[in-house]
Amino acid sequence: MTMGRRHFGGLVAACAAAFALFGAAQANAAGAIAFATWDGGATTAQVLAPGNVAVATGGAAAPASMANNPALNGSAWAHTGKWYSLEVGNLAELQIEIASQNPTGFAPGLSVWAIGNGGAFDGGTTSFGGEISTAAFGTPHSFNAFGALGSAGTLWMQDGQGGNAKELLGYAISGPSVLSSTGWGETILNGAHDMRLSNAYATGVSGSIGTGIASLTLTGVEAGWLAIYVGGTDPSLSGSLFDVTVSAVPEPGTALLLGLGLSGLALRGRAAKS
Amino acid sequence: MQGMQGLRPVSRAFELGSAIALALVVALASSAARAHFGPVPVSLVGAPVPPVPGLLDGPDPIVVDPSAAVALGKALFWDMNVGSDGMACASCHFHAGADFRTKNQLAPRGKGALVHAPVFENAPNGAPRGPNATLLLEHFPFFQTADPLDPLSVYAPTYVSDDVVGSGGSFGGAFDDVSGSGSNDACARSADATFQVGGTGIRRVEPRNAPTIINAVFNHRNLWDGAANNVFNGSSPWGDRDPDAGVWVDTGAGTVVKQRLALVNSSLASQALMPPMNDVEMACNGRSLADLGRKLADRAPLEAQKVRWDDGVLGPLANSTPGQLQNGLATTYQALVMQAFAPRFWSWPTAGGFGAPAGSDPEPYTQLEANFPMFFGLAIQLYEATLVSDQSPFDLSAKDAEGIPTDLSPEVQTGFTAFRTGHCALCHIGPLLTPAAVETNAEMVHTNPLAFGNETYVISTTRNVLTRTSLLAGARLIDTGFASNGLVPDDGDPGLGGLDPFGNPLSFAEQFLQLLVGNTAAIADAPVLEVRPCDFDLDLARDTPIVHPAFFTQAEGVQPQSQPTDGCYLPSGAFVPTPTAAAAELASPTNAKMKTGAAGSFKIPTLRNVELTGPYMHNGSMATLEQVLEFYTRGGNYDTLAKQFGTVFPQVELRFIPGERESVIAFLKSLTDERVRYERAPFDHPELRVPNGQVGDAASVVDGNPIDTALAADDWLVVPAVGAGGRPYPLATFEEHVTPEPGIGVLLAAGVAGIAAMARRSRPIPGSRPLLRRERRRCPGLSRASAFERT
Repeated sequence: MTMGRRHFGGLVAACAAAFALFGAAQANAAGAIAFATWDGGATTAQVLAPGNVAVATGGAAAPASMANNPALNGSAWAHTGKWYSLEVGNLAELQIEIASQNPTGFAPGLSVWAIGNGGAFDGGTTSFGGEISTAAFGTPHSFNAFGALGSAGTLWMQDGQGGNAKELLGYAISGPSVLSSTGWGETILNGAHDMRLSNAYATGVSGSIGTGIASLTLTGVEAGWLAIYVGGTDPSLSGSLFDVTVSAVPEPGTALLLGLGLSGLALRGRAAKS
Repeated sequence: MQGMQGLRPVSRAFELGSAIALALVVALASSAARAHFGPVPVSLVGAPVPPVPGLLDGPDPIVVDPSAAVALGKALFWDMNVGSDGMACASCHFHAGADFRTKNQLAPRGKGALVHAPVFENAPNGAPRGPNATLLLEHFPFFQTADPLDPLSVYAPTYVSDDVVGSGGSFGGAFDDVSGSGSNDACARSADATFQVGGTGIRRVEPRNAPTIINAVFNHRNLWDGAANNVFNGSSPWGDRDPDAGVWVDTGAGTVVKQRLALVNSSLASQALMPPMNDVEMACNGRSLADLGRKLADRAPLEAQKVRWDDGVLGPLANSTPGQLQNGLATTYQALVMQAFAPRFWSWPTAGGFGAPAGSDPEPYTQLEANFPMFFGLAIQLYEATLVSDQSPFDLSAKDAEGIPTDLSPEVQTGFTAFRTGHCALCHIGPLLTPAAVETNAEMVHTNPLAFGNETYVISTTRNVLTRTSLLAGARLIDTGFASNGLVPDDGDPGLGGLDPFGNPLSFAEQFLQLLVGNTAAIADAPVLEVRPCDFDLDLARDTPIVHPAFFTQAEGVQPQSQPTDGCYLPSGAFVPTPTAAAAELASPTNAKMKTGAAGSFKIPTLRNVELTGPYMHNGSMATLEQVLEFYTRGGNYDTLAKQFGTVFPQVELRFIPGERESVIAFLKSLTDERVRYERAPFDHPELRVPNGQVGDAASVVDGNPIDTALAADDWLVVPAVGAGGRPYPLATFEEHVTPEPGIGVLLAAGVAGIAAMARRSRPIPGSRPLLRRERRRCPGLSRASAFERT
């Protein structure tokens, strides 16, 4: 179910019942969410060149921390999923994969935002603008992980509002769709989805889902920072740890050269033995 | 990758690159690393005790000699003569302030759970477990599943019992007269319909687990359901709710008048009056506190109990001398009352005019007897106020700039973090690890704001006695410091959803609904009138034209809150519905905004000394901290309407990360004050004989109790007197206490295994360490046996 469809059609309309009070005189405090660590213990990673891989193993998120939580009217729940931050170089392709350690125990989902080249995601601001969902949650306790920035439930992290996120690039959920009456009026669809509004940060988004797995592939990635949210999307599952793998895919030419080099090394080894 | 839906093939080049370790992880130590999630547990050292204006201070204090009042309170608390049949207050609070008896501690259902039949369930192995049964470790927990960590397993439990591990108390009976000597009052007693074995009566069991009294002075209200009013009226537990409450005051001008009393932050005094008038806990039905005053006034305190010469409070008054342990104090209760309290409360020279006993005693009460409820309540409150445990390893640890302890073990440090990231600290908050400490938390939020949240999550902490938050049923008003954790189903014990004897809801939130509709006359507790809506965790009303399903807006009618709006937690919420809008919503069949989460909610307990205060929960249904962690890991047992949505949910880290639950338990154990563990002052105490069920077992009992032939003989245990220096051996945990003795066969097998191991002269014996630990525990003269002796 590779979706890859583009949404240049403008902002998702805010649900009438989910709204913001602008001018609530709240300073941008940032840090509303905390970042999980990559393997090695740091909270940010650099994937600057083709072939770089960043890995975070043993992540944990509540079974419905991203979608399908009835108490949140299906919306995402920022403090029970995991946030990852990384910096990328100019890349032809970047693959982000979330794999459950027990495929039938956890239905992962992820959303990816471009933060731009001015620094990492600042974490956004709690309750920015007084936004509140139809389930009566403020942000980011509940937030909109599926709508373009500017939609209801996103102001806490949007650049120029409560955070410094520039654009939602895409999302993928492996759990069921949530088709109506969501917390922020967002539409939450099973599968992988290109949510870009421009080509400024990536020229394409595709992805895939499967049992216990969800991935997104960004193409034509501009150098800068990304933020990733990973959560569960099916409350009927009992839970599992998951692994995150972010891979900058080498150019075919690079791989070819490398392969040739390795072949040469192998041949030289054989020659030496003989 | 079976089950994949259209997964795009990964390029061969990518696989090759990975396989040959071209992969490179560049991880940066970010300067933007975030603080950990939410509130930071904080030391109790220096935490302000809620003040009680007028008690010890002001121009005309009630108590004129606080030291004498504390001595009076300690004596009353531990004196078996307070009950009608040998129960002291301490009988249910003798072990780290709680009760860890294991015999005849079962009630057949939760308090007020009328839809449940009063039937004792069998143990998980099918063995009968009814009145006078001895609890075993394998009886716990009372809700079991195939996998206690699996959140889905709760929908197919393998064992459920609604029995409650409470406290064995009184035989009850109809009161006639207090005893002239000895403990047992004159009452018409008979075998209870439920608490009997073969038709012979046994002691009744309170259907809630006894919470610890240590640190209880910080609670805005006490008891699991908050029934012990914050305001002490001097004569009953109900504060301003009781229209007939009052104390008798000698005006000094030849008159004595009954005056109302309203001492705030005196829930402990309110609470103290309940058990001595309760025919399940301590007394015969119908006995008043004035009757108790008559019983005790001329007696020596603790006349039948040993008091050490070095007792931290009672030593100077004790009959004992070093090496000569004697019963009682060299004074009388009346003398202590007169020393501790201002004369205007006891100086009226004649009896009469203060009422008279309801039973056969014709003599009218004296002023001292009539005011005995006030003396009793306040003296016990002042004694209990000394029981502050602020010297745990966690309290004593150094902290960094963010309040993180820095010199505890790595496991405790890990547990401290896990406690926060697991959302435990959202409820177990502040220096007491409970929001029930309303006044103390409201003070400390100004001096230590990180204790109540950081940029990721802040819990609104003010003097508001109620808030609004998200429960499973939706946005609801709920009393500060109370919550449902999904322990028992909605038709179980209603807890905070109960009523007082006058028909008022115990819940502040329920009263607030009446305030919103303009029914001010229905407000029984003054703090409800002072609630500031803009300090709720979630808005009740907003000044906006848009209709919202969870709060009031202009569409229904809103108006500004009556209080100032400076420093509001949520400025957008500085509004309330108009009375008309509130009334319409309350009457609506689709009412969603005028509801509370009171029913099924209970006071959030402190976690201090939790290592020693098992069994756990309001129903005592868990024997170990491991069982408690399993409960929270699976996200509770039931999806109750009032369940706190954001705090009790499936915890993946606790379930899957090795050592995570153990580390949280290690942190919890760092909250044990060694003075409590060793009963050093102020936690020392007189001797106490505790009824530990009846002689016999659940199948048969020995009748012929000296109190009444219809009752079974008591099985007494003795808690020896402990001086200020404490006991030589630590208090046992409930788990250690309830664990069955190892059978002879087990010991024999272990001995054989030990000999075999010696022969091999190598390799440790599997299981040998636990056995040795258990042997130490069980060895007379070491730990438990020195604390508990049969008589």
